[in-house]
Amino acid sequence: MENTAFGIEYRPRTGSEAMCEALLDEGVEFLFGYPGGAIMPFYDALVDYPLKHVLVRHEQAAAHAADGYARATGKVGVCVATSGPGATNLVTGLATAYMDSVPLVAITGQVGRAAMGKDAFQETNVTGMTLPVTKHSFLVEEPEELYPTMRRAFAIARSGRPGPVLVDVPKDVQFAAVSGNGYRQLREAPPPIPAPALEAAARLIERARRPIILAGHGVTLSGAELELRMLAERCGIPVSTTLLGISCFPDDHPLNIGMPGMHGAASVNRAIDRSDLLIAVGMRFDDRITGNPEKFAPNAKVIHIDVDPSEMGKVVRPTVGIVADAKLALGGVLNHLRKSPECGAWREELAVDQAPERRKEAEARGRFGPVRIMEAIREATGGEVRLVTDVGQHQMWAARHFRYTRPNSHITSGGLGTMGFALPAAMGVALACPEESVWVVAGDGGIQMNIQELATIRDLGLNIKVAVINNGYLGMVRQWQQFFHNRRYSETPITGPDYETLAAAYGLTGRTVREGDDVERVVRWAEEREGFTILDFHIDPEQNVYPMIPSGMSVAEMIEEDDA
Amino acid sequence: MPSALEIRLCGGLLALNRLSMTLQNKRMPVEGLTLARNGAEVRVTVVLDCEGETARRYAALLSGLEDVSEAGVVADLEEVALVRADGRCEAVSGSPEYVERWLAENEVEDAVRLGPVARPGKGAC
Repeated sequence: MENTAFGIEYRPRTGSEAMCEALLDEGVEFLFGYPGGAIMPFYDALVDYPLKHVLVRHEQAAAHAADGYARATGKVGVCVATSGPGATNLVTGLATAYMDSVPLVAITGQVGRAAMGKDAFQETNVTGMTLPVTKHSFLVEEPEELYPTMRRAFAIARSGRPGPVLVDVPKDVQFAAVSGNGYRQLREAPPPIPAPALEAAARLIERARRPIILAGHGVTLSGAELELRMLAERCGIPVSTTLLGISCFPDDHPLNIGMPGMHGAASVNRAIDRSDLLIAVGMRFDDRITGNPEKFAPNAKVIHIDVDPSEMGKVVRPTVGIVADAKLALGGVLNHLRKSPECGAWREELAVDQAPERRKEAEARGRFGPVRIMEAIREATGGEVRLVTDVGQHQMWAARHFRYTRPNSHITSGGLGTMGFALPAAMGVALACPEESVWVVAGDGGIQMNIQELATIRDLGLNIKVAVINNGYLGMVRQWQQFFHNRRYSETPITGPDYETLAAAYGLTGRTVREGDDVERVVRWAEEREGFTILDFHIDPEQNVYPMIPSGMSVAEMIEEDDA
Repeated sequence: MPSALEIRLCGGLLALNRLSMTLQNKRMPVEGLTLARNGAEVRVTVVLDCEGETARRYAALLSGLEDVSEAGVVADLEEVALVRADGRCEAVSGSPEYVERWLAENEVEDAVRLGPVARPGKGAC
């Protein structure tokens, strides 16, 4: 069409262009994706916009990379895939983000509207199949709805309890001409926190003699690290961080007592058992923490702070429930505190119980194995690192034995426990924080699940370091087989490539590290060299993670190293 | 003691899919589910085999869904039965207990029960 008054060619905006404009308007910098037939109009438009696209080698990696980016920045991560297998390959990544409350927007192409419902080539009902693992999903059937839907998707992803949102766009809708935007506002802001709840929480804290703060991912999500520290220090309350809460409170702080739960510190689990008040902040009493909820913290009153109202009483019935953002809630509680609890004796009791564990950890640092590797990474980086871990034994060793001193420096798949998460997630972290040191700690099982991303890492020149904790087993499953299946190691021995050779094939660098090698030197070498490096640590094949509370059991059934 | 929720939905079939998926996904103890509408709004009444406190938590969870405009526990339920008796079609309405009693006390050839649903203007929403 030509505008005859000014002689300017006028081209109506397409759906794809509206999508790109919405992404720009949301402040998106990076997209992680993989093109295909049904998303081609979007990829065609993308060329004309200042959006940086990262071409992954598998769509699952796109979702994990966007997830890592979101966790590192607090912004919404974006991933893109085509219809059919492209969309289904995103599902694991969406479920991972959903379980850990990570804000993502996933854009998928869909077959044209006329072909939908007719079993067309690469057609899947991705909105249907992602219903249980997304906060919301849209199938955009009208071009005019594209821009407002994209904006709304971002608002939903980041509001309240964050989570992934899927936007499925038929190919002809991406092609179609659109006008206007008609952006609709989301719901109103949440109401203020009722003062009586804050007052009741403050009184419980003042009267407590054996209190513990359980700090979860919600502290990081809401940026409440300072308020958490103020509450802990003002009241002298010990802090235990959940797997996803790790690094929201410094590990070297004298009030940090460590991680609770199935593989948490035995002293922490015993402390929870004896506690008279749990202040649970931004955590959801996952079964990996409570074990048998009937026997969990039997002597404790509970203050539960969570932004999601449906978490109240889901597993543990709170004495006081505060439905609010952790930062606001902790600030409110601090304002209502009139005095600090008398819990000096409690801290001394905990210190006595922790002493043997700390001695054992110090001894382990002197032996070749995962604890020493964690310490070597910490020393080489000076603690200035984002550690991205996969899922399995190494994840627990990294959680328990790496000392995190910077907020949001520990990134892992907690709720879903997705093997293969770490390498692609680290790509998102490295792009989000290009000046920071990024280390992946993974097992030899999980690293192979998305190993194809070495090509993406090479293309982007990402400065990621990988420590493979290689025991030749799917180690955590093997450990369970040892404890609960009479050492019948069914399908857990696993082989892998020579990572030095594999890295070389991708144009990257790797080293194999065995007992007797200088762990500290090789880790320092990796840290100091520019570019990707993979270190393959061959550790004792049957080293276990201790302690362990068997699934569904209580602290009374905890297996400690000396009992095994 | 069963509890009932009224959920008001906007968003058509996908909203209904999401709701039923959430009921199943969160293993809510659903004893009964009735759909009704007021204009474009779909009203769903769900009878749950759980105490009121648990039902309130489920209502909070459901109210977080984007397609749900309102969700809450309801105290008053209404049921309608379309009854065929003596060759004629009639409607019987009242509380679920009343309709149950009426059907037991009267000879009917066939009955279609619509409900229970939240009583208009007296539900939680």
